[in-house]
Amino acid sequence: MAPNWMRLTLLSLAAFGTLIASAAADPLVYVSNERSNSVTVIDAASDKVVASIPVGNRPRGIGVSPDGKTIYVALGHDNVIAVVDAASRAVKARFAAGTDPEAFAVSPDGARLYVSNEDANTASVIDTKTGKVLATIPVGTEPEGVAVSPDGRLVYVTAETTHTISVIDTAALKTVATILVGSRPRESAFVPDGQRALVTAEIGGAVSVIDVPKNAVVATLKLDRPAPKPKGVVVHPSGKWAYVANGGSNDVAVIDVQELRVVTFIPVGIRPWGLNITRDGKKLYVANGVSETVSVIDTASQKVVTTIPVGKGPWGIAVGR
Amino acid sequence: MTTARLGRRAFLGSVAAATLTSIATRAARAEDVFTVGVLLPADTEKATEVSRGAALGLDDANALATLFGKRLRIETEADRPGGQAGRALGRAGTLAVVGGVGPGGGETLLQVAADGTPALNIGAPDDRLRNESCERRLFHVAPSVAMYVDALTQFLVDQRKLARWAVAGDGSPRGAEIEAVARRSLARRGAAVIGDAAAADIVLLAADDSGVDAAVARAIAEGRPPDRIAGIGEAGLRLPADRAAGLWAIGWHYELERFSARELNGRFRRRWSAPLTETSWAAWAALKLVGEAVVRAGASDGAALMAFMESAHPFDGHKGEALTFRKWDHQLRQPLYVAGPRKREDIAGQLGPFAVLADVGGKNLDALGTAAADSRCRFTS
Repeated sequence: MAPNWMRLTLLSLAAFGTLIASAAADPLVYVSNERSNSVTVIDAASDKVVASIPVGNRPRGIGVSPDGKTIYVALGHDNVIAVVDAASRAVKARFAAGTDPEAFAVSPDGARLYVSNEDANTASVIDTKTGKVLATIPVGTEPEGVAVSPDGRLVYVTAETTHTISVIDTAALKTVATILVGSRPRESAFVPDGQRALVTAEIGGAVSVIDVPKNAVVATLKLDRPAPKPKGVVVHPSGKWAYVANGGSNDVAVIDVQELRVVTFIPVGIRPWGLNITRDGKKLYVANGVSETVSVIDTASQKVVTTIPVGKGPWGIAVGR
Repeated sequence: MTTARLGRRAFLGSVAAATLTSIATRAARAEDVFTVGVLLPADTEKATEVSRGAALGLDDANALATLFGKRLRIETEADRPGGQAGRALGRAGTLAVVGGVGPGGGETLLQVAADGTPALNIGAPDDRLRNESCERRLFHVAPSVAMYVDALTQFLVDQRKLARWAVAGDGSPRGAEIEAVARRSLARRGAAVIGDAAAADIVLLAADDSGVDAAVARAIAEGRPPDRIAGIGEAGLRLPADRAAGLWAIGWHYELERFSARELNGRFRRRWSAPLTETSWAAWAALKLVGEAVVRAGASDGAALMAFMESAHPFDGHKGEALTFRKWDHQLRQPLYVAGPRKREDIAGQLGPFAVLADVGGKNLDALGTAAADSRCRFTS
């Protein structure tokens, strides 16, 4: 029989391991509600709403720090990024973020926020420790979606009026390339190996696939729906699939990233907008802006398994720890 | 609606500055520079609207083009009777000519196109230019009379169930055109112009832009409620707040917000301290269209520009839909809007006397205007 100290250690490790596994499988999901000025918190284990956090006026873009301890929410009418403590679910700081901030991304190390400034045609780099703006970088006209490469070295900023992606080198803090994509690009997402990225074109009704090292579009995937108006895009952790929220056709397109083809469309609620996926890749959460619900998709069966009522005008989704 | 004016001298100054910048940048980076001709109408307020819209369109076009070693510049001419200005611009090696605003503007542009230069119509709604007088090099950014009337009947007959119409014409050719189109549009919807005008649900003002003010005054004097009077085009929106009346089919409004209209309206207002009118929107769109053709298709001559326009490339006009030119008449498909008078107590700050009541056409843009089967346009070249 093992001595007590060894049994206790093993039990502790087992408990810790269970905790970690549980946290990985069943994170919290955060939904920004544009018209009810709140963030809905969903427990992914039960897919039940566990909290609603008042955050400020017109919350849209939302992200979580890599350690899961902090939630960031862009408040368009307050001109700030709200910093929410995930444990206490209270706003602990507000970072100035130019006029009407809408979209941003958190760097993989959690040290920076990259924010698009739609009216100023710039992207701001914010230090998450101090809230100070480290740099302001000119990008295309009417910048919108922001994505950071998995290695943190590149930031993509879509520009809706110039139909471009501005590629920002995060070390040099400047735009190093501009890529022409479809009409009115909204969001982009990198595949896990960082070699490719996908960009939605709302008016173009298509997804541009970019060869990241070459800064070149290698494919344009038409979404074969009447006026699909694609907006959000997320890539499965395996890199095999990408999911696109079609705000006009009320479905989610499933794209085979290797074969560069759309394999199916999954019907969801009305005006799907933001979407995100759990780190294990098993569940996809889709914010339906007009239905005021979140559709939960089982990625294996490619079906909606539940629909959760949330606040008014659900816009963005972030997955925590 | 108040519109601060930009003097022609100031506008030409800004164009000259843009040209000098263009030359300086070209020297440094060897850019390809393309000239777009802009015809300014005699009416100074309208000319200002064209100039401002074109200037913002030039900014937006160059924000893209300069990233790829290209640049657009504008050359302006005052439109004069006889069409000399159009021919001058057409001869100057311009890639395209933008115009069509004001009396005779459509004819000038038609001649430019017939002489061989692609032309973008931003102001002439005449259905004739899209039918029996169509020209392959002529592309219509501005909506047609048929589109405006269809927008009205969609909204008032299909949505509001107002099926008995009266027509108040002003005897002008435009008035006659509006009435003829309205009779066809109403018949398609099971509605009609009735003989007893007093019993009509709504009165359509079939009037030329210059006659709109008087037509509204007559309808009000006859006891028509302000929301039972209808007309087309933004001339009706220029009525002063104390006489605001009527439901107007329009192509743009400076209070639109959805689909990033708020951003476009905001950029225009920040630049010019004035509202983005429908005429300015069309001028902006025309310049941006040419810019996209230059960058996306590498268009460097008229043939390539036309090929791009005819390719149904989805243009983003901040109207929430992909805007494309119809193959059969070169009319830009686009949603339209119906605006109506706002309650006086609600008019404050930057809110004008008219509010947008409805978007029309978004689900089926070809339901606005002449369908392919009914088109009398036959391109000959």
